[in-house]
Parts: sequence; C-alpha cells; structure tokens
Amino acid sequence: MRPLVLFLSAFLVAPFSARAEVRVATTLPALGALAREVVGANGTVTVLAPPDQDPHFVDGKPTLILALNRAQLLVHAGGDLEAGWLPTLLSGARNGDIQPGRPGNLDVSTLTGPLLEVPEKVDRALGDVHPRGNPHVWLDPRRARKIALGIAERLASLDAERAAAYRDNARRFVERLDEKIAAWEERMRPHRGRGFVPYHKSLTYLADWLGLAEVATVEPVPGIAPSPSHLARLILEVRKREPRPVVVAERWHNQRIARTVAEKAGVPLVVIPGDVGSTRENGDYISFMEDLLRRLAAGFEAAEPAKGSAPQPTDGQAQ
Amino acid sequence: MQLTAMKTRFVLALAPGWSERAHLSFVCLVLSVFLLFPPAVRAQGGDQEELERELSRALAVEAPPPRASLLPDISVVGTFAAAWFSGEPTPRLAAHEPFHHGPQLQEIELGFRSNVDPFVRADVFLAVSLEGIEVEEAYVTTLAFPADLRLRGGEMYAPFGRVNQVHYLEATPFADLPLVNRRFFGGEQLRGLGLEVSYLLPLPFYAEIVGAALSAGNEVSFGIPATEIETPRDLLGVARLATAFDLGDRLTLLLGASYANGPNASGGLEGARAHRTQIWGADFTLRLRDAASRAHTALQAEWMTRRAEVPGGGFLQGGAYVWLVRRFDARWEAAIRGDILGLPSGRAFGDPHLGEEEVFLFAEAIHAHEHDHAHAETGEFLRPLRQRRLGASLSFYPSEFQRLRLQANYDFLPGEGRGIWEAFFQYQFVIGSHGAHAF
Ligand SMILES: [Zn+2]
Repeated sequence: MRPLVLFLSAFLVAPFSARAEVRVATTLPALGALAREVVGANGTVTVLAPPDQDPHFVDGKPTLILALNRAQLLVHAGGDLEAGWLPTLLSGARNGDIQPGRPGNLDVSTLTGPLLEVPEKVDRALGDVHPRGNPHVWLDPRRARKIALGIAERLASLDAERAAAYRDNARRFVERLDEKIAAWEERMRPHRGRGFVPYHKSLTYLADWLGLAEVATVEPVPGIAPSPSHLARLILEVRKREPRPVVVAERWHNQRIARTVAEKAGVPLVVIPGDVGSTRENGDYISFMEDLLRRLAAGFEAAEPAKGSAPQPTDGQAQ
Repeated sequence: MQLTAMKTRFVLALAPGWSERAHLSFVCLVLSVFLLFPPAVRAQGGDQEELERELSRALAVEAPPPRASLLPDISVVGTFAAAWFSGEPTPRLAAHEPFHHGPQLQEIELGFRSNVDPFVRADVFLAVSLEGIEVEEAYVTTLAFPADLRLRGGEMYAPFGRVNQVHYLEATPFADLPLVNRRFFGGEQLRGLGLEVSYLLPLPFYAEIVGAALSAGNEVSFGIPATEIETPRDLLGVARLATAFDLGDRLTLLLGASYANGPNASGGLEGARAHRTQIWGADFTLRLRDAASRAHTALQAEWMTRRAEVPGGGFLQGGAYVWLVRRFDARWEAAIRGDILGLPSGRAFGDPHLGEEEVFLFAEAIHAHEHDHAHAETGEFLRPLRQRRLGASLSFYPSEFQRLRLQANYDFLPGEGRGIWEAFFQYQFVIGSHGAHAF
C-alpha cells in the first residue's frame, strides 16, 4: 500500500514542481517555430500538427491531448483553420487555462491585422470557405513578426518573472527577421507582379507581401477537387499569361494534378515541401522562408529567365 | 440615436398603415438582425475592404479582431438510404438502420455546439425522423474542472467501446451497426440521462479512466427508464479505460476496456429490479496515416460479452466485429467488415428450458400496461444467437459535405445453410458548421 501511495503522490506533486519551465503548445509547425524563438531556453514548445500534413485535416489523435493538458499557452492560427480537429482535443485536455477566451489561448488571427478575403457571403457553394477570412497568415514574414511579438507579450503577461527574457528573445528574432525581410524583398523585387497558380488559397499573404498576382487556383473553390473542365480552362488561361506564371503546390495537395497542370500549361511547378521542419534545411522560421523563396525564385527564373541570362534547362520542376 | 429615429421615420413612411407598436417591433427586429449578422452590414463590396486595408496600413491602426458570432455552431446532417434484401432481414430494431426494402430516411440530425462560457461547453443533437423528433444527445462538458477531471452531464451515449460513443451514421464506414452493437444495445445505441466523470491519468502516455451513472432506459440489455428510477441500483453504471500510443510519427494504437452493469427489464414490472445485465468489452484500433496526404488506413475491432439474468436463470453471449478501412484520398474510401455473434457461443444457465420462450420485458410491461397490448420484439435481443456477417462498402465524397455510399452484406442466417444478401445505397449531406472529426 505504501509504495502505491508514494507512487501516486509523486504524480500529484510533479505538475507543480515542473512549473519552473514554461510549456507552450502550438497547432502548426510555423507557429511552433516562432514560439520557439521567443521561448528560447525558458521552456518547451510542442507542435501538434506534423509538418507534412494539411493543417485543415490534422488527425485529432488522443495522444495530442497530453501536450495540451500540460500547456500554459496554446498558440493557434484561428479563423476556424483548425476547427476540424482542435475542439475535441481542447475539451479532452481538461485545461482551463488554454480554453478560448482565456489568457492562455492565443488566436494568431487577432495579432496580424484584418484577415484578407473575408467572404461577403458565406455559402458552401463557394467551397469550404473560411468564414472569418483567410487564416493562412504565417507565410508573410511581416505578419510573422507581429506573431512573434504577440507571443512574447502574451508570455510576458502569463509569466511576469521572465517577461524581460521573452521580450529580449523576440526583439533579437525580429531584428534578424527585419534584416532578412529587407534582403528577401530585394531578391524578389524582379518578380513583383508575377503570376502564380496556388493549389489552395494558402499563399494569399505571401502574395500580398511580395506583390505577386494570383492567376487562379488549381482547386476550383476551396476544398473541392478540380474537374477536368476546370483544369482545361485553367491550363488555357495559364498558357495565355505573359510573363509565364508558376504553379505552386504544397506537398499534401494532389501532386499528380499539380504536375499535369504545370506540364500542360508549359510552366514550372514549385513544390513547397510542407511546413517548418518538413526537411532538414528548413528547421526554423527563417531557414524555412529562405528555402521557400529560393524555390519560388527558381520557379520564376525557369518560367521566364531574366533578360540577358541564358535560358536554363528545366524539367518543369523547380526544386 | 438619430439614426434610429431616421430609420423609424423611414419605416413609418414606408408602411403608413402600421400601428406604432408594429413599427417599433419591426425596427427592433431589423436592428437585432444587424447586431446578429454584422457581415451583412459590410455589404459595401471589395472597395471598402480595400480602403480599410490601405488605411490600416497607412495609419498603422489595426481593426479589432473579428467579433465572434453569439450563435452556436449549427449543423444539419441528413442521411437517407435505399435498401434491398434477398430474403427476410435478420432481426433489428426499427431505428436508424436500414430495415426494410426501399427508400428510408435514416435520420435528420440537428446539431448545436458551443462553449457556454470559458468553463463549460454544450452539445445538443436532435434526431428527426418520420416518427418525430427525439433528443439523441444533449450534454454539457466541463472545460476547466480542476485536477485533470472532466465532468459531462445530460443525455449522452454511454462511454462504452468505440462505435457506441459516436454518431455512427456519420463516423463509421458503414450504413448500419456492427451485429454485436445491434444485438446488445439496439438501434438507438446505449445511452441515457446521467453524469460522467473522467480523469486523465498523469502518465507519460495517454490514459483516461471514465465512470458514468446513467438512466438505464435501453431497449435491449438494460431497462428501467428514467421515469421509473427509485434507487441508485436502478441506474446503469459504466466504466472505461482508454489508452493511446504513438508508434512512430504516423502510426497510432488505441486500446480500451469497458464494463457496464445495470438492471435489465426481464420479468416484467415486478421482476425487473431483481435481474441485472453485465457487459464486458475490449477494443483495439490501429491507424496509419500516409505521409503528406489525407489517406489513411485503420484497423478497428471490438469484442463484447454479456451476462443477462432473467427469471429462472440467465444467458451468456459474446460477439465481435473487425473492420479495415482505407481512405484513399479526400474523395474515396473503402472498407470491409466481419461480424460474429457467438464468442462465447451463447448459452442459457439456470432453468434448462430457458431461452425457448420469449423473455417478457419490463419496458414492454409498461408499454402493455399503458397501451393495453403486448409487444415482445425486444425481449428476443436478450437471448443468445449465433450469427455471422460479412460486409464491404465503398464511399465517395464529392466534397467534405456530401457522401455517397454503396454497401453489401452477406448475413449467414442463424443455423441455416445459406444466408441472405443485403445491399444499401446511402446518401448524406452536411450543412452548417462541420463538427470535428472523430479519431
Ligand atoms: Zn484554407
């Protein structure tokens, strides 16, 4: 009997003594990467969604409940992006601190300014639209900057003892990011105004930042698989465009369809290998954006080489 | 204030024949519609939005975060089926399963879900069928109860096994119930009015223990309806242990064990409280998610065994199902299922002649008492039966909000050489908010 009591009381005591470290959970890897910059050595960040899965359709595995149960802060994209899997986990977590409306629940869509593409009419005939606006905000580093600062402020208010550390970390990250933003804008300047065809409306904020023009999407409306007639129309439209646009697909989208559209339209396909951490090269937010922009720039170069340089051989795939 | 006055005058001018009261209520209605649906006010078109964005950029002021709607998430799920049987279908209770030739409305389910406040959320599911409307589930769940406890109270599915806890028409890959669920819990599944307490064990892996006390108004295995409860022993007690393990990044294993104990309805009005039913269950789910894809494969099995006391003795019987589902992509899904009743094979104990006659049930006794006629259909579901069934289904999702399903079963008739074929075509639509997917 005695060992059992000791065993059980060890578990009862554990959560309190472990409060020394801050525990943050984030739904998406990109948000996790930003949180990690802010938290630094002051705690742990657990990411719920794997980097190779569509953020709309993450498996709400009961095993994810553990991280939510222990978290002091939950960072999520909001705007109903995670509505298909987060609510069940949140209720299973039995953690009052991170429920919606509590300080431990940080909805990123409240940090980044008004969401783009707020539908005037929410009608499912227009597909699986995000009723509160497009929540795919984190590919715009200017918005990522606001997210990092927002996480720091929230952590500072939750854990006043280390407020200065969080703000310091965030400031250092933002300084590095600002330099990068300037360099990235410089590098992407020749491609301003270029057209691109994303699979899903998930690159809207990237386009908003770089001044790219969304020609159309591979899926006819959000969440609906393209029909041959839609694809035919799309391919003809892309062929007409000067300069030639690129097709951009995230890894979880139907690669065969994306490749076919690119091939038939005679334009490069840029594959985004997933979220932060999906490859060895993109383990943090800055290297992830670096990698993404490199792929995008290579795609634009392959589609329409800059004047004076020799045309580059392309197999229709800009890796 | 001025605006309201202007609006009132405007309305007055529009409808001079109306009384002042009618005008006032019309204005109130208009205003409340405006308050409830703020986006409708912003029907100015893209220009305004553009300007808003420009201003927010130029002046570095942020719009306030979008105001959440005060309405709960509302959904309507309509499920229709057409069925064909090559012979007399094996016994089932006329609820939501296809049970006769031709078209049928399986269910129109109205769902309302919302956080009540930061402490409690509410889930209400009403089932509308051609017979009427009933409360399928209506419960509140605590969100912030201390000590890793969670309470749930209201009308709910009993926390037993896997299939019994979900709205099977939406969440399982078949249009009907596994045989053992049908036989032990009936067409409405095991559910009742009561309270559930669950605790997340402080272990390095996911383990949850659940206990519930519910009214035992089940039409098959348990049977004292909420209106007849006199002592705590009249309630149905359910206990469950659920665990989950990540075996690598993409493979998840769930293991569970469940137990239910409650009074059954055998022996009519007087005998009911003397006889109890116990059900033990074990469940197993292995799910593999494909890399970078919606595709997944899941193997799920449940086994249950039931010991039911009836006047003069009792019955012992077990059953199991196992299914394998393959979701190929966002649009296609295929599944196969094997069912068996008779694990253990099913026997009567006590009176050697037990089981040869219908067992008269308490619920029927009340029914007979009130309506002056007896109806012994459900009593049969307590008796052992040996039955096997094989099934396969193919589902197509044109979008997240529609599903077409074809299913074929071969039901080996109890004790006979050849069985019957069952074929179902099922159609389901979802409008409104799409609830979270069950795992
Ligand atoms: Zn989306």
